[in-house]
Amino acid sequence: MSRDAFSALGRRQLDVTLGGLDDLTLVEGARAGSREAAGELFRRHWEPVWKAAYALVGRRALADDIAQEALVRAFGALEQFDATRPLGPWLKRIAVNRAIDELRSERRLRLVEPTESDQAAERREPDDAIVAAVRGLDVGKRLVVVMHFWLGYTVTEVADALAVPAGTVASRLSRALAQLRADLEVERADSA
Amino acid sequence: MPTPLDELIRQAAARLPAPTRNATTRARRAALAALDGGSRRPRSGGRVSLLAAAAVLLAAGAAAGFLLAPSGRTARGAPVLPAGPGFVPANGWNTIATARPRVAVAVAANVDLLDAAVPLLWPQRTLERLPSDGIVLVATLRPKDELRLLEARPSLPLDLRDATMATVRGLTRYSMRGARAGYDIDVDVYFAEPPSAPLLAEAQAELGRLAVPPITIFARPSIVPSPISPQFEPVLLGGSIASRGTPETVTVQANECTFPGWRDIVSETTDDGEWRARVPVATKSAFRAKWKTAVSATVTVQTRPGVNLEQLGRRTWSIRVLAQRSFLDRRARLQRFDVRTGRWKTVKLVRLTEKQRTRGVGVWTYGTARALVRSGSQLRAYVPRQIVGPCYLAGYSIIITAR
Repeated sequence: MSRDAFSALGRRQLDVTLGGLDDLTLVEGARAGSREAAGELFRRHWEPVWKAAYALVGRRALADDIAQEALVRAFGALEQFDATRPLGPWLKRIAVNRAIDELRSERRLRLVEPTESDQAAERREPDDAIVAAVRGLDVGKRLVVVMHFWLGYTVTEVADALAVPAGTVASRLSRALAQLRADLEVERADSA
Repeated sequence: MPTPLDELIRQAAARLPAPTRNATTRARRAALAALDGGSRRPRSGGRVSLLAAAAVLLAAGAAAGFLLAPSGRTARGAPVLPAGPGFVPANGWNTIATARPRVAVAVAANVDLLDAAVPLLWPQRTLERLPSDGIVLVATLRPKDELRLLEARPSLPLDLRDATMATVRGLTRYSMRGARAGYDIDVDVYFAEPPSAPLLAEAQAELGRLAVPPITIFARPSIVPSPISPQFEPVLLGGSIASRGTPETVTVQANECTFPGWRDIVSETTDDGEWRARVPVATKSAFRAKWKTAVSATVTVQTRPGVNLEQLGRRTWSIRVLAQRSFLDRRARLQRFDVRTGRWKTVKLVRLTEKQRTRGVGVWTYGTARALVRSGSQLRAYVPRQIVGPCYLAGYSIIITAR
């Protein structure tokens, strides 16, 4: 049997085995240097983390960078991961913090102009009305809507993450919902 | 009370677009490189890649910490008993072991161990290159009945004659199950080909060297982030004792850097043979646990000082270092990331000239310096181990962008 066929056979068998393991066991494996265990963790968590990043920043290229960095950071710091807690929320939290930092620094540094390739990619996005409406909110409102409705943060947790008072979060949420309601009604009227 | 709009928004999360295949491939490669502790910068091609590089460097540090995990090697001196269960190496054998929450793994081999750390499932590199007379033993230990396998298991030492034999990826594997000191133990013994009688005898001898101490200890993490890091939190210490059921008292002892002797820091009651304690660690410390007359092996937790970098004016920079002791008159480094070479370059040595004690936290030692740095450069403050050792590892600030 050739070496490649040998590896492929092992890989298939290993995939079956890894698929049945819980995150904690895989984390232990990854901590111990198992690339297979780390690969399975990546397969499970990459897409949710990327979606969280995309929802927050609204741009593919930036979401790619943020989600990638979140996974790089997490895999590099698995030793510090508290194995008594679930892995998914920890990964998303890293991505959320990076996204917030990135949006803040963009506003400060005025690097907000997207590149042409970014714009081309955004134009190809599927046209879900609500996703598009949320993406169209200004950054402050979009962050609170995404964190609260899509990532399951409470108002207090959103306030902590953004370092603003809970009252500010509540009022932003209220204004965002009003704008979304208006945008979606306009959309419905246009399509009628 | 959620409104219909609330529900519509929540449901829309399922319709978010998915990442592209290219982005997925790139991220997978970078994440796995971070796991290896690689120092190459992942090619994300974006604005945050500098921070990603820093994360990879941090990962390298963490990996180095892991390599300090208990291991034994007869070639370089007396055998070292692992903090948890492990193989005591016979002459010419290499062993490595680790104790972690809910699982401990020990590996022994009569060849060089090519895997950097203890693998949970498969010491891949070592087994892929196993010579014809090579032997690798992998023992996985979990608290009894963790896997809910209500089966009778023999006690140690295990006997290869009781093993189940199979061929796995071209290797001959002998598998055995046993129990000892509150652990269910699974041992796999690998040979490159069907073993001769002398090889079986050699494997049996090492199998008999699997030691399970009556009390074990682990520490998580083994390197504590700086006290000003958002990830800073007390260290989780824990382990098992060879008695399940009745609660028992375990006393944790600490030996802090430069502090002579051991002192009791906390007593915990076991729950089904497991004990846990959270302890704040401010400086490099060794820990061990006592149960009745049994004393566990020692685990060491290392720490980093907190480092803060601030731009006070166009050319003025402030570096502050937080630790249990002052670093007065030591020199921290202001560093700029050179995108061309992918390395950090020291822009200025900053002498720490003042100190301020912060109640309950430690001492801030700080200094300011003037340095002209191009606007938009990525900067960090760095205090190397030479100036903060032996009680601290090197410290880094977060990366900031020059105004």
